[in-house]
Amino acid sequence: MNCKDIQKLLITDYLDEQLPAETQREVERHLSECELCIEHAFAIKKTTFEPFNELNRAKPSQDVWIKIKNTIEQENMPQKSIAPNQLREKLKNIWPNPRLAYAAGAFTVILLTSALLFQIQTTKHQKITQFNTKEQLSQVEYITQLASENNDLSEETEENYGNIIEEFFLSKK
Amino acid sequence: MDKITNETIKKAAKGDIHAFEELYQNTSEYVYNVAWRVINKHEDVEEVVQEVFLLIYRKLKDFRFEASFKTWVYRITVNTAIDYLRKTSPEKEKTVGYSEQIPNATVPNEIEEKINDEYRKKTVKSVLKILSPEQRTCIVLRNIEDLSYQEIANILEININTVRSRLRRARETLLSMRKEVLHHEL
Repeated sequence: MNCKDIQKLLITDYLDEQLPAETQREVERHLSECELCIEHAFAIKKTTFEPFNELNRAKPSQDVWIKIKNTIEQENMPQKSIAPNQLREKLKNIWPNPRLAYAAGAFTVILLTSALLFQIQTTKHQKITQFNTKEQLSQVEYITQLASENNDLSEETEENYGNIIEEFFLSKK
Repeated sequence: MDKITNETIKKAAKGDIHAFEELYQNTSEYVYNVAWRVINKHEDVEEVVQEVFLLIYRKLKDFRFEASFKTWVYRITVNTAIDYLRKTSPEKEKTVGYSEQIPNATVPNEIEEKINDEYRKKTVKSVLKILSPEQRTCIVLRNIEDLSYQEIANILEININTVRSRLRRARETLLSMRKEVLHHEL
């Protein structure tokens, strides 16, 4: 391996101790002979490793757990009404993809509109049917009345015809 | 983190607040430190930590024990911290000039010594500020949390070579910044 390859490994795997044993030995062999690469390794260590070596580790305050616990207890309580932004958050959790949500919403609106229009048409048809039936009824009554009047007239006429014929034949004798 | 049993995780997933508190006690220090270093701001860390644990509580029922609990917690912490960074600092952060923080030296032989000393004291915050959120996360997980390349790749759900490349670019940036400071002072 040449200096360029070694320096690539120095800045990552070698100083991070991620190299397989054989490659590690090869790098160390090179470093024992190459001053340039040793200086480069030193600079990398000083600049990018040492600053992080003796860092203090912090802990969260007691308040953090209290706030988390309170939030969880509030979420677990049965809610009477949900604020609009909470509702939006819940919907986001249920349906994370907004495009799908809009498509589903549009489809639902179209479906409801169609159902509503169909309902109106059906009601209108029923009213027309009822009207027709009533109108027809009155018409039927009228016709029946006419028919019965007509029948009366015809009965009278038939009777007259019978009498005339009888008189004719009786007079012949 | 290794003191957490599967039994505790399952109980917490069912809503057992005491089991969840046990999870919190075992992971909060680690979550706090990663969140702190990734967002690079002390004042908002506790808010981010709260958000992380509330997310953990809500998503616990979906945890399938396929990855380790540790990896899963790391992932939520890193993602929440990066989301916070994007919301609060959408523009690219300016490059910090180290020379602004390092005092002038009058004697040439002492320059490098002073630079090193100042660099050590004030360097972590400044150093991390220079890096992109992705590079910063890799440096934090490798240099501060001492995770392996494979563990980092699992947490960030990226290829191991991407981890390597982000670390290399981050360190090259820091090296070139330090050279610039040395050149300026000399």
